[in-house]
Amino acid sequence: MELILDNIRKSFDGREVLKGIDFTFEQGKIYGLLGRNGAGKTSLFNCLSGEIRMDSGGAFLRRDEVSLPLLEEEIGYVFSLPILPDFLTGYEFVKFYMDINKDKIGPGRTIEEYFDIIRFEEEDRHRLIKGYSHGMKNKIQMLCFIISRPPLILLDEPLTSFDVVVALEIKKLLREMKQDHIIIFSTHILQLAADLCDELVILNNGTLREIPAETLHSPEFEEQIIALLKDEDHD
Amino acid sequence: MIRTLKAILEVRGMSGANRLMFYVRKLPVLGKRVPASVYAETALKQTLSVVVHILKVLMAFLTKFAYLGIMIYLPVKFIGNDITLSLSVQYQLYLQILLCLSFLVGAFSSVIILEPKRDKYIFVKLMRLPAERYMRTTLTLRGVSFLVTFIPAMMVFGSLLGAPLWHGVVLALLLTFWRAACEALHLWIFDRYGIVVIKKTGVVWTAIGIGYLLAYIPLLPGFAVVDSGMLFNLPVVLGVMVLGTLSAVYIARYAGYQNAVDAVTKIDDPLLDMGRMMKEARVKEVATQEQQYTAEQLKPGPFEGKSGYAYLNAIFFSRHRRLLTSPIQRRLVIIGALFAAALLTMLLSHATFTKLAHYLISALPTFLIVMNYTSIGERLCKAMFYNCDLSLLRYGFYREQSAILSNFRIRLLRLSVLNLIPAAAICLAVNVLLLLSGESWGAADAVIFCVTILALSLFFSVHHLFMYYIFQPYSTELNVKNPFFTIVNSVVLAIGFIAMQFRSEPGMFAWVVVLSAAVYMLAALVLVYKFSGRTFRVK
Repeated sequence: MELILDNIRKSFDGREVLKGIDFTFEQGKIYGLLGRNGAGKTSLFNCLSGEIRMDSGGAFLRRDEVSLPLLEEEIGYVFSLPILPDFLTGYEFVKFYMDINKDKIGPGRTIEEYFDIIRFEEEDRHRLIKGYSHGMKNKIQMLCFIISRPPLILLDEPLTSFDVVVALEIKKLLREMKQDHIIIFSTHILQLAADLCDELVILNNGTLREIPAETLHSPEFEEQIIALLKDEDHD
Repeated sequence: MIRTLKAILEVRGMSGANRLMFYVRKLPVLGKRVPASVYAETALKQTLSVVVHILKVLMAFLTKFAYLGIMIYLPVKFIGNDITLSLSVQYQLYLQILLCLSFLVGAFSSVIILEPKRDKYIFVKLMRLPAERYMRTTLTLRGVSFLVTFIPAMMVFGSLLGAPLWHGVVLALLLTFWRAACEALHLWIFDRYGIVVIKKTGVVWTAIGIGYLLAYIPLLPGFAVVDSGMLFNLPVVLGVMVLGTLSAVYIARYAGYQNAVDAVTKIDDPLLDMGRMMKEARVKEVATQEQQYTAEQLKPGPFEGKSGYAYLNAIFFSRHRRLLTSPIQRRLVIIGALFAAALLTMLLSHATFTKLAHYLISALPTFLIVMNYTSIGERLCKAMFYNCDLSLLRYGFYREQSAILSNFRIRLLRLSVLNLIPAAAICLAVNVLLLLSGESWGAADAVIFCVTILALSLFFSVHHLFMYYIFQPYSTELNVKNPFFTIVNSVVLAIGFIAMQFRSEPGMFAWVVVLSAAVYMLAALVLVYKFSGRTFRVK
C-alpha cells in the first residue's frame, strides 16, 4: 500500500503555502515530517484529512496496482490540540466511537481491553473528558485509530505533550502498529524525529523533499538538517 | 503635548483604517477582491486614516444630536402633544431630564480618567507612553471635543423648544465644567481611598436607575420642577465654572496617573475587552459543567442499551438537562403568569376580558411570532454546537452524510418533544380562557386552534434545527457569522408579520400551517441529507 500525493497546492489569501506537493509514502514506515513554524505542516494534514479543500492536486491510496482517491474514513488524524467532546466520559466516547466504526473493527477486544492497551487508569475512564489533561486526551485520540485501524495515520505534533513514560509507551505502540499502516508524524523536534522515524521528510518553501536515510544516523545530522531548512529560505 | 497628540491620533487613525479594511474584506462580493496585502499599503492607509478621523468627528456631532433627540427631545414632544403642554413647560421638562441624565447619571456612568479602556492599555502599557502625558493629552482633547460637539445639538433642540440660542452654549459649557468637576472628584476618591467608583457595579447601576426614574416619571404627568431661571443665573453659572476650573487645575497637576492607569488596565479585566466578556458570557450560558456530576452518575449503565448516535444524544440531552429544561420552565412560568393575569382581568372587569377573548379568537396568526420565540431551538443548537459538534465535527466519520442525517433525525425528534410542552400549555391556557369567557367557542374551534399551535411548534422546531445544519452560523466564540442565517431568519419573521395582517379564516390558516410544517420537515430531511456534508462544518 502506498499513499501518493500528486501536485497538492493550497493558498491562503494569495500566499501559496503548499506549492505542488509530490510524494509517495509507503506502508510499514513511520515518516517524520519536519518543518519550521508556519511551513504548512498542519495545512498539509488538513488538506489530506478533508478538513480544508486543496486548491488543486490530489491524494491517492494505491493497493495492488489500483489507485483510488483517499477517503476521509481512511484517515486517522491526531490533532496537536486534542479535540474531544467535553460532556462525555472517556469510556462513553470510546464506546460511541466503536459503535460508529463497528464495521471496521476486528472482533475480539472489549472497551476495557482497549483502555488497557494505552494504560489508561481505571478511575479516569469514567470521568468527564472536560477534566482530562492534555496527555490523557491525546491518548484517547490515539486509541481511536488503534480501534478503527485506518490505513493512513496522521499525527500532528503528538508526543510533545506527553511525559517521558507515556511518550515511550506511545512510541512502542506506534512501532508495533506500523506494519499495517502508513504513519506520518509532524514535528519540529529533531531528536524525536530522528529517534522514532524510519524516514525523514522536510517541508520547506511549500515542497516536500526526502532526507537520505544514511543522513539520519550520521553525526552531522543536526547541522545538515538546519542547513537545509535555512538554505531554502533564501532561494 | 502637540507631539503626543499627533502620535496618539496617528495610531488611532491607523488602527481605525485597519479595522475599516478588515470589515471591507469581510463583505460578501467586494471583500473577495481586496487582497490581504492591502494592509501594507501605507499611502492608502494614510488617506483612510484621514477618512476615519473625519468620520469620527461627524459621528461625535451626530451622537450628540441622537442622544439629545432620542433620549430627551422626542419623549418630551410625545408627552407634550399628548397632554398638550405649553412650549415653555416642555423646555422645562427638557432641562429636567437633561439634568438627571447628563449631570447626574453621567457623573457615574461615563467617567473617563478611571475608565478601563483598550486605548489606555495600548498606549501606556504596550507603547510605554508616560501615563501623565497620555492622560493630559487625551483629557484635553476629550474636554474640548465634548464642549464643541455638544454646542450645536444643544442650540438646535433648545431653540426647537423656544429657548434662545445662547442657552445652548451656556448649557454645553455648564455640562463640560460640571463633568470636569465629577472627574476630579472620582480621581480624588481614587487617590485618597484607592477606590474606583465606576467599577462598583452596584453603585453605578443604582445611580443609573435613580437618574432615569427621576428623569422620566415626572414626565408622564408633565410635572416640571426645574425652571430655566434656576440654571441660567449668574451665581449658578459662575459657581459651576469656578468649580470646573479648579477641578481642571487639579486634574492637570495630578501626579499619580501611572497608578490610575494601572488600576484599570489589568490585562484580565473583563471590562477592558468587551468582546471577550461577551464571548465568555455566551459560552457560559451553554457550557457543560463538570462538578455537577457524581462519580456514580458517570458510571456506564443507564445508556448502555443504546448505541451510536442514539447513545450520544441520550447522554447529551441527559447531561444538559438543566440547560434545556430551565428555558422550558421559564416559558411555562410566563404562560402561567399570563393565564393568571387574564383570570384576574375576568374577575375585575368582564368587559375588558371579553375584548381579550375576542382578540384571542381572531388573532391566530399572531402565534406565528409567539411560537417562534417559544421554541428553544436556537439555544439548543448553540449548546449542541459548543459542547458536542464543535469537537466531533473534526472527525471524518461525523461529517458523513448518513451520520449527519441520523443525528439530525434524533435531534429533531427530541427538540420537537421539548417544544411541544410549552405549546400544549398554550393550547390549554387559551382554551380554558375562551371557555370561561362565554364567547361562542365550539369543539371544532378548539381543535383548529390546538392543531395550529402544535403544528407551528413543530414548524419552528424543524426551522431552527434546519437553519443550524444548513448554515452552521456559529463561530467558535458562538457569535453568528453567517449573514444568510440572519437574512433567512428575518424573512421567516417577516412572513409572520405579514400573515398577522390577514384576518384569514382560522380553518384555512390551520391547513396552511399543518401543510407547511409537514412539507418543511420532509424538505429539511432531504436537504440536510444532500447538503449538510458541505455546510455542516466548523468555520
